[in-house]
Amino acid sequence: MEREVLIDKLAEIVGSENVVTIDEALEEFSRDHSFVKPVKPLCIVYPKNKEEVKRIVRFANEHEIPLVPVSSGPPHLRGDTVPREGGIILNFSKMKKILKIDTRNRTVIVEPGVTFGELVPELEKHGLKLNMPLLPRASKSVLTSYLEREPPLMPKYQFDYVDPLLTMEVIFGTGDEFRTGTASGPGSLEEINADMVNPFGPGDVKYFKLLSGAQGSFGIVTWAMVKAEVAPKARKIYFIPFEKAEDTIEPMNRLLRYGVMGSVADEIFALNNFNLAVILADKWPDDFEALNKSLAPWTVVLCLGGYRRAEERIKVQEKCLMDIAQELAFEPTPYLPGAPGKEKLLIQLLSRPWEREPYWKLRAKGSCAEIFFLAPPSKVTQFLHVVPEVAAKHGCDISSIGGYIQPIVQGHAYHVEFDIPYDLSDDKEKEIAQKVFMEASEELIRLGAFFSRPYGAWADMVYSRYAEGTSIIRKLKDIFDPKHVLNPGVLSII
Amino acid sequence: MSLEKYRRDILCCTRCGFCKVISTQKQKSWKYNRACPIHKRYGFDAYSAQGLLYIAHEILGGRLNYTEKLKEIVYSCTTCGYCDYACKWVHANAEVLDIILELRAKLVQNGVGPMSNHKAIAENVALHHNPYGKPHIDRFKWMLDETEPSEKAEILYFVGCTTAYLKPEIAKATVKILESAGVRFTMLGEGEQCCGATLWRTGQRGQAKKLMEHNLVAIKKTHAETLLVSCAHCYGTFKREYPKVVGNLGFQVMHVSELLKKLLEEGRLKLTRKVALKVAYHDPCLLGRLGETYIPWEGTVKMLGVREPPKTWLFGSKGIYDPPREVLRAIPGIELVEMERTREYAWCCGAGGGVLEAFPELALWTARERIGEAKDAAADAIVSCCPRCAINFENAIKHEKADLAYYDLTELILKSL
Amino acid sequence: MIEDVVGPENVSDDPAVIAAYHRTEEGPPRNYPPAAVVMPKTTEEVSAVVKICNRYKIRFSCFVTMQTACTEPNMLLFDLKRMDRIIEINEKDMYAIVEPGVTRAALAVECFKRGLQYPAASVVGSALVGAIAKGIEGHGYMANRFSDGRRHGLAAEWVTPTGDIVRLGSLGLGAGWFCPTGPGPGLDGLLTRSGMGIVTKIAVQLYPWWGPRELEVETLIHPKTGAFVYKTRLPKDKFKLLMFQMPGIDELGWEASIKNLADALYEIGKAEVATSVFKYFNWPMMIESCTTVEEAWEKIVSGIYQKATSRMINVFIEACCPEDLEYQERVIREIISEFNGKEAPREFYEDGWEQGKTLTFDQATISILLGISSCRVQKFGGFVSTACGLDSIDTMVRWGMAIPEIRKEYVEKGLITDTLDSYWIVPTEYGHMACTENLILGDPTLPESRKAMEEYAFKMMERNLKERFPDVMFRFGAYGDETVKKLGPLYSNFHLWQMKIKKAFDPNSVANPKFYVIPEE
Repeated sequence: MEREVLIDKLAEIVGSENVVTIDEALEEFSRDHSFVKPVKPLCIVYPKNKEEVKRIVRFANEHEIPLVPVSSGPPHLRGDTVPREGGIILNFSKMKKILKIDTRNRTVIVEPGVTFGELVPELEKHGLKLNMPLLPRASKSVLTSYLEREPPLMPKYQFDYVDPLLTMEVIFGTGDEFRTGTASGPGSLEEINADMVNPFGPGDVKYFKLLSGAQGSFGIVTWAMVKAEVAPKARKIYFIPFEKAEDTIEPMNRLLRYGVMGSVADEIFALNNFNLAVILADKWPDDFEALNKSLAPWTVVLCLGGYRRAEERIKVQEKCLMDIAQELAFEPTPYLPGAPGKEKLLIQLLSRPWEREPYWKLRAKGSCAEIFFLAPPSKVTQFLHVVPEVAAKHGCDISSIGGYIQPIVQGHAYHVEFDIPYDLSDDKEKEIAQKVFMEASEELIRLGAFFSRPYGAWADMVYSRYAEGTSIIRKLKDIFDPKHVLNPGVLSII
Repeated sequence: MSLEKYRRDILCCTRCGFCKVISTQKQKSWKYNRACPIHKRYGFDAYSAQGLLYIAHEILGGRLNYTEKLKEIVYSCTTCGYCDYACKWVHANAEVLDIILELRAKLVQNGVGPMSNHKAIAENVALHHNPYGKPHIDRFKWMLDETEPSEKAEILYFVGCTTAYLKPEIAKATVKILESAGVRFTMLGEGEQCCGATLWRTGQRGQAKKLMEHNLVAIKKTHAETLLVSCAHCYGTFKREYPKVVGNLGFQVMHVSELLKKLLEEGRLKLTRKVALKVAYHDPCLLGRLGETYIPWEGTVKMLGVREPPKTWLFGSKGIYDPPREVLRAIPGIELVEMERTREYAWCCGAGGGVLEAFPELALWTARERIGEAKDAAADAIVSCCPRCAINFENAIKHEKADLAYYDLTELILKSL
Repeated sequence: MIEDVVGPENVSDDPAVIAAYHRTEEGPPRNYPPAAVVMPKTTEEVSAVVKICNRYKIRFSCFVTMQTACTEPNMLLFDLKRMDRIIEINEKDMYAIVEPGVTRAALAVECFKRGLQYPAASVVGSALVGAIAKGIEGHGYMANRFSDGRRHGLAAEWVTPTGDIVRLGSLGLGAGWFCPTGPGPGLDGLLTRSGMGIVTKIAVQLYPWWGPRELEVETLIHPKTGAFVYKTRLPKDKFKLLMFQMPGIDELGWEASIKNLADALYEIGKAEVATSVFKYFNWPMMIESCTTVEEAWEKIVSGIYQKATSRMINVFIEACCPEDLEYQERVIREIISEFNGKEAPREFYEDGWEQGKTLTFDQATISILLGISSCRVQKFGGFVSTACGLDSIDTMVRWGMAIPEIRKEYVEKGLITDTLDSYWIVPTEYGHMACTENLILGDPTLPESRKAMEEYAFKMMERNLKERFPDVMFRFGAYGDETVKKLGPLYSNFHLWQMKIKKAFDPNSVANPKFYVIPEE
């Protein structure tokens, strides 16, 4: 189909003002901060509701046009929004309704365009909080974040790897509408006599799991319900400084197996000095450089939260913290070692998405290559040396690599992340960053790190090693998107 | 009772699985969490109380024909009664063991059962009054010259076939102990015939009944108040099965371990010699969980299984568990350890229910499991109070070349006297 | 051929063997006797037999804990009890790798020894852990803190309906057993109750246990009935069971009393306390504590429990230290008091037994909580249950409103017992969701009572549909193919998607096609 005809047809569906063909805009969506090869889309379409999405998907099926769903604002770091095979960018920034906040069941239903920046303050008004990832950008789509299984800060609330995602409405690649879990029926949303909080089913298949981590290649989610939690009435932050990343693991392990309801802390994670300095720095580069020098090489951050009888709960949690501290001979302190006085700032930062520009991961050099994977508690330390070693091998300044270790799923696993900042405009730096990214990733996979979210180049690395899984994913793709119109190529095998 | 009368009990089976695994609160490990020997050995659910109840149900409904396989399944059960205890603990709505025994009786009635080796037992009993086919006249060959049972006494020592013919050392030890404690006892002499345990348990009710009636008459003639046995099989049969046939016995049944306990308490038995041994006590099924007096019940079963008048269930709680242990603890030098599956939830030795005769490989396998358990308890020896357990354990120890001994309780007492 | 794979002693088509896997009363349309039963020992044996089934178009089903589920005649039934190894308990990573024949109680006991616990997602200790691999909804009482079986499955080894061996999750990439989901889409979403092949190994999530490594269990004898009573003793400074009587049906009426109770449950969820919290109901409470049917009946007819236990909240606290216990208890009592509840009388507790009044409820409840239940709810020969599936606490409350009305005629005819309040509500994941089940207590050995129980359950299902409760999607086996085909369009045409998935993975339609999934005509 000729491009102009295509544009016209799309305009008939969404309105001409919602079809963008300006070159600068197309350029912007052709690439991101990952190493995925840039490909320019044909146009950017802004659907406003589910019916428009359906019609677009059906249209795409008829004419075999790839669709690439994008829900978050920039920057994009992982390559999942780059159209591998051209096609249309489906931009959901105009589907931005917060459909329902249910304070009783502590859930919220959002359209894909709802961002953390919009949702978090709304929830605050209702005395609720989200189990957020670490400082998502304000323009990040809440729905996408949870659908893609971004690790949240509070492992105690995560009962499995897909938590806190609940039910969803999805348009499959066939253009068919489907709702998962107890949102599926019986009847319309208005008729269903349920609060739709159960994500499992309908029937035997757990669709919400199939859709998670699929990078939009099975279906387009047009709304999702996620859990919210009660905002604490009181909070107290503690820090534990360590010299080495390896030393952070055992304390975090223990703190997630002790305390009220099995967890001393709400938020609990570890950052290296670089990342923590990037996050806390006010004036750049002075504040950053000072913090980077003064902060401990690694700091475990824990926020104790109080609910009913809030102060009492915090006291008990503190007692539990000290029990473990004594046993393992570490010293938690309410003052941030190397940056006393920044405690309140950090609490504030952790309660909200990142609202400043640029995004914190890009503050250092304007771009960033993320390497992240999952590992069980017994194996985390085996992987921590890889990125620094590979980086050093390629002449990178390893003190300029951000480190982040996040326990997840009630302490059953860890998300480990290294952020390699580089100057996008410097080809040499970019080349080095890419080499480090590729080599370290290969080495980590070889050693047994689990790249559960195979973005960009990881897709090839992972699926080339997982033939049986590849075959299953292909079968599912043929069911949910037989014409392969949804984000083709994003998982490399489909 | 016929199988038909248990129809309701059979329908109460909900397949909960408690007849197959150790009472969940009492499980101590994965290794020893199984309770039913045949279920563990053969795997198919047919080899379990649940399976046997389902089979009974199908037979009652005329939907299952008798086959060799069916016979083999029904007779592979050692009738250890674990399932009976477990099901009653959970439900108390079905006489599980009685159903299994009734099923066997039905097979015999219909000419299908028992197994050929069991038929041989019946023939032996008919001819020689013992299951082993040994001459009746040799029943008291074990008696020592110096042993002089009284003509009349309050206590009648019923030796039992297995003790008399295969484990005479138990009888000798028992008698020596009695004499040492100054206990007057009498015996039936030629009047003693097989207690009928194996015949009854293999469904050969007719012959078993004859034995029971004979023995009852012989015992009553002596006017003894207490029937003393050193065999758990005899004990459980007299207490739990005889009353079903002959009604109220009119005398007390006592196991030698109970008497030993009493004698020790009264100071009539002095255990002075040290026996340095670490022992694990094995609860014989018919002394422990099946060692209770049968209480007949007549009435109506109402909705939900409510019995009117209320039924007294045999839960196994009044079986003999502690006396042997207390006696063992009284022996200087003995260290008593417990196996994981113990007391009312003990693993069977494998010799009961005619299995020793019809399925010797199964009996051996079952005993070997138990030996492993004793070794895991760090015991030097297994002690028990049943000659059938003795035979089976000794055979298994030999087969395993296990570094473990077997003793009857009476033998250890004798060593310490 | 199957004998060649598993050995002749591990496969049988003998009617006497088959008889144990099927009971006529549980017959069609849901339960046929298998044509043969096979007991494999290894994944490779499972795979080989499944391939034989594909070659010869033999339909197979898989025995799962208490259910046998041969939905058609002439099926091969896999009994996986020989696959009963606990392969590993990883203390550091808090998971256990089990084969499908491992029982929940066996795993629980081994976990305690290592300072871990397995929050059994079922009340039956003898039930199979592997059931969770099938997506069985098995809901445990500890779900407030641990969630339930749905969430506990980790990486798995799976024999597909075509006999291929697939490793799911982190296992697929050689990264160990800890993660079920990924890489990319969560393929563990495909594991279902026997329609999608057989899971031969699965890792299950474990949790910290601050209790004794070996449970201290005292054996007592009931003074009246002579039954064994096992009392599990847990350290009092870290474990506590609390029972509360909320304003009852007599006081507030059915609706207001249950709503008040629900409000309390929500508050407890939000307060993030209580490892276990649930609305219990009177007759299982009674039965769990009774040693004989007569004892239970006496209690039922006395009416005391209907009154005293008409709205009960049970709370079980597991604490890491005494201060934790004290704090949680204060919070819970505060909430209960806000909703006008009060602690149940002493006779429900420890000393009730000594007083000869009742066997201790709390011991029975602790048994359930630790997954070592006595399963006494089956005492009368079983029960029929009707349920709603999992959704919010409020949904469970609304669902339960129909119970008094639908039950009435059967109670009046004397076909089921008048147990007044017969359903529980178990909050999950800090009260984010809840699960319920209404146990219908009749006499399954009496055909008229059994029929009444089934009719009652059916009427609940009909009413669920009419009032748009999310029941149906979880109970398709109960509805049958034709009804599900009619209902499917109401549920996003899930049946069509399920059929497509089924067809893609089971092209020869051999893996229990009729159970939950409608084969293509």
